[in-house]
Amino acid sequence: MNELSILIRTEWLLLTRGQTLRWLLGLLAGAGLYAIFYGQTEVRRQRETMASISRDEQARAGTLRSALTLDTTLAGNAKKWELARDPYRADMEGYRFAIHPPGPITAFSLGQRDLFPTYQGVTAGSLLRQLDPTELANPQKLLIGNFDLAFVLIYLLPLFIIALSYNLLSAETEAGTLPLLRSQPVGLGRVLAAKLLLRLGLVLGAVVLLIGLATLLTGATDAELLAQWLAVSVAYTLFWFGVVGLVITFQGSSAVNAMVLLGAWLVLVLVTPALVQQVLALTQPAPDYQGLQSQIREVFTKRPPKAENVQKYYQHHPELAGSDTMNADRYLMMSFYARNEVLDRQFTPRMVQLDEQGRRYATLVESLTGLMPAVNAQELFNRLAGTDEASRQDYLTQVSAFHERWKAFIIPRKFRGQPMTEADYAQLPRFTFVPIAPPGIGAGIGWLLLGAGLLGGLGIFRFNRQPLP
Amino acid sequence: MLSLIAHNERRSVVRDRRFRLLTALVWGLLLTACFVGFSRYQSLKAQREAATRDVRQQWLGQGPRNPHSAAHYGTYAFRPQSDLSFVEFGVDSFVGTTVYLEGHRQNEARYSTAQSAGTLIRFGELTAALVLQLLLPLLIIFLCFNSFTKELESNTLGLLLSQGASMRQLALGKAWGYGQVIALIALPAVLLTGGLLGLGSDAQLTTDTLLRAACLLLFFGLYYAGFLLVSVWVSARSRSSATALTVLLGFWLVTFILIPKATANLGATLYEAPTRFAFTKALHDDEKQGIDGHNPEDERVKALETKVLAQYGVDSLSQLPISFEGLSLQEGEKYTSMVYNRHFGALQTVFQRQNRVTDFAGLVSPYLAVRNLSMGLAGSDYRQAVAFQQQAEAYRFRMVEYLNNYLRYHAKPGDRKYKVAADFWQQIPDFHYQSATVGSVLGHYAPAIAALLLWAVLGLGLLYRLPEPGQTNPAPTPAV
Repeated sequence: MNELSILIRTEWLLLTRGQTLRWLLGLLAGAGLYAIFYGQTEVRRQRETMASISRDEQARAGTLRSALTLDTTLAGNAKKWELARDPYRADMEGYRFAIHPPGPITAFSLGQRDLFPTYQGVTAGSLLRQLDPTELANPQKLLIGNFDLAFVLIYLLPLFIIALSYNLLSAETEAGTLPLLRSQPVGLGRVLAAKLLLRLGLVLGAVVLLIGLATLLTGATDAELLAQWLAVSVAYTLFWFGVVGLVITFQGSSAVNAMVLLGAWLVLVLVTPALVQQVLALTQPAPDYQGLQSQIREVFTKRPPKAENVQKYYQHHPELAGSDTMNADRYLMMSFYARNEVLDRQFTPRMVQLDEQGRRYATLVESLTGLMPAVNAQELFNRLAGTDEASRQDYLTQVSAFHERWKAFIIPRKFRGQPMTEADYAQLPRFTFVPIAPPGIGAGIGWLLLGAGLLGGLGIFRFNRQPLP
Repeated sequence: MLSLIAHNERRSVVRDRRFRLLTALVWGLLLTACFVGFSRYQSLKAQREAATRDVRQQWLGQGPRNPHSAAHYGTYAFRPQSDLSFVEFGVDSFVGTTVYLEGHRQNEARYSTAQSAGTLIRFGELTAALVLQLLLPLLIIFLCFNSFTKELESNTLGLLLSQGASMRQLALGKAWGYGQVIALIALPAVLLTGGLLGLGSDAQLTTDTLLRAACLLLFFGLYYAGFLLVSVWVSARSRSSATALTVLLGFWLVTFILIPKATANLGATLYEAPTRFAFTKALHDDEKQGIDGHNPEDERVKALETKVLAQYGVDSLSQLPISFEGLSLQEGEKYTSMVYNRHFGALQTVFQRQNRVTDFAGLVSPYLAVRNLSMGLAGSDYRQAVAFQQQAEAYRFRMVEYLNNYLRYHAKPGDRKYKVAADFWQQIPDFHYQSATVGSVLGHYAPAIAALLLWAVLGLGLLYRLPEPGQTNPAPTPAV
């Protein structure tokens, strides 16, 4: 048995006989279990909403479809039958939702899914006028944030690490056992290494247990995502051990260490992100979506003559030119669709510009992640959970493509005066979200490991340069 | 005796290099927070004032138009930034800044800061409130955790007590000394806030704003006093500095980080809010039960027509002295407004219930109590976001009602081309938001005020009942 393992065993006995470890583990386990339960509750609610949306879609399309089989000789049926044949009705009453389903481990990090909508009803009208900017949410709840596994790992785990190791060296000094320790034939460096390694092992064990528990309780099966999640957690843990390692080499008293480490936690987890947010908000003007809506309103409430609208539409859709039968009523709805499409064509570039402006913000934040390990870890967790900004942009791009498909189904039928058939109702376009492989997490993990290496290395350097008096 | 102990304590703290460093840090943060908070407040305020002016110009410049078309065109209401919001952003960044006011429907406030700020905003925003509520208590802990244990550890406690001072006197004296130190640290924040307030509110400091600021000062005072007294008590009852510090930091962690997050999440689980899908569906289902003023074929419009014809004793709409269209549109508006108010009201109630859980958690976590009060007094809590939405809705209803009634009494029956003159639009006044009175804020947050009072009294009571070493020796240690 080598020296190191004897040291670790002794330290293990010391730790497990004290009260502190039990308390800390209990607190972490309690918080972890609640976080898993909460994340799962939220995701279950999201799935239930999606199921009720599907039922609603089927019911609406079903009503229209069965109206086509009604016996039109009976009073009242003729009108229902006539309406169901109208592609405009199929659009307004048979519309479908584009759903952004939760990913395999969304419950681990709910990210922005409480703020932004995860489903969108799509009709052939203007998309810009349809998009819901946000989900209904309690602002105070949004302010506080979600108590999910990512929160436990990003906020609480570092505190757990700090509480376990802030008095690594100082406890010996204060108990007067340091001279005893130094009189042993083992170098103090080895003793410290053993103490740190044991604690690292303990924390990593707790992390693996938490993730394992979350996997079991949520029934997540995607091994690759879980492994990546674990990798991020390990890198973040190492980063914090780097911080602890550096601080204890300053050989302050337990109280000073606790103060400095808690200060580091405050600066890295709370203050820096909050300060950067304020500075960015000040220097990067928020995209003026309200101004755009106001412009859209100006255009949309001015109604050029119907024929003019339709003629403009034909310029972009020559294949439909002349397909109309000049039926007055039909012309009304044709003009409606034409007007809506003109609106989208006119303002989508501006919308793209505004979205770009928002993304610049995200790029700036990304360029600072090296300095903000907590934000870095949160972004990585969100990416894996499919709850980050990139995943939402993917979804919105797919919503836009679906809107085009839906329009291509409805509008030509309306223009040509082609009635909807039962087969048409069966073939209404459907939206399926195709998750795009998330961008790599290598760079983010690299930053965390670099931080861990630099801090830890500096600690070792300092320790070797100026050993204890 | 008391002031002697206080004086001694104050002097030893102020001489401490570590303490000076911490104070400099807190001051630096406060200064930064006030500066960025105030700059953002000013830029947001300027943006919204400009937008309000633009929108008013658009409204006035509509030109000749049918009054009901103007209801469809609508206008926008912007949520103004309250004078004190630069100290405490509250929920402001997560609430929409503008409501579109149009006929037939009530819209919710849209376009919040959070929407285009990415994940970063979920880490919070650095404001003076964050420093004062979250970080200053930590400073108090570091100031007080060894107030007694250091005497114990250097064997000076017995010496002090032998001078004739009682534990109570000693504890109160120390607390008094630390209180002076904390006041000294917080003073620049107060002066700075006062100065910026004077700058920010267009040189007209209203008594209302001053009253709010005074209340904030009082509540923060109670909050710090409680924290200080309890910290000194923990130190007096601990065997070692390490124990005292662990207990106090544990308390900070649980009541500042865990409880706020846990209770907000618990509230959301207990009182389930509808999703937008469920909300919209329920709303539209109810809306369909009402009169559709735009559809003459609507059965309810037909019924109204029969009723109105009978009332005026004529047999066709063209013989009516009023425009039936205006009448039926307003009937429809009344119904939809009722439906929207009911659904939005129910939703807001669910959210307020969720927040109530947090309000009561203030009894355990003084941080929550002071945070809720400070959001309320700064005018940036959820309640005032709702008040804005409700006032905007009341304005919208009056505006649409005026337009529909104008159509009813001025348009000739059946005249679908009716237009009002270009100068008509001034008849509708601009929207002005009336912020909640200090009294109503204090009334709503009575539990929080009670919690802060209790907290301070508890601290004082604990120190008063501090046993003399002779009575219970050795002092029992709180469990770690």
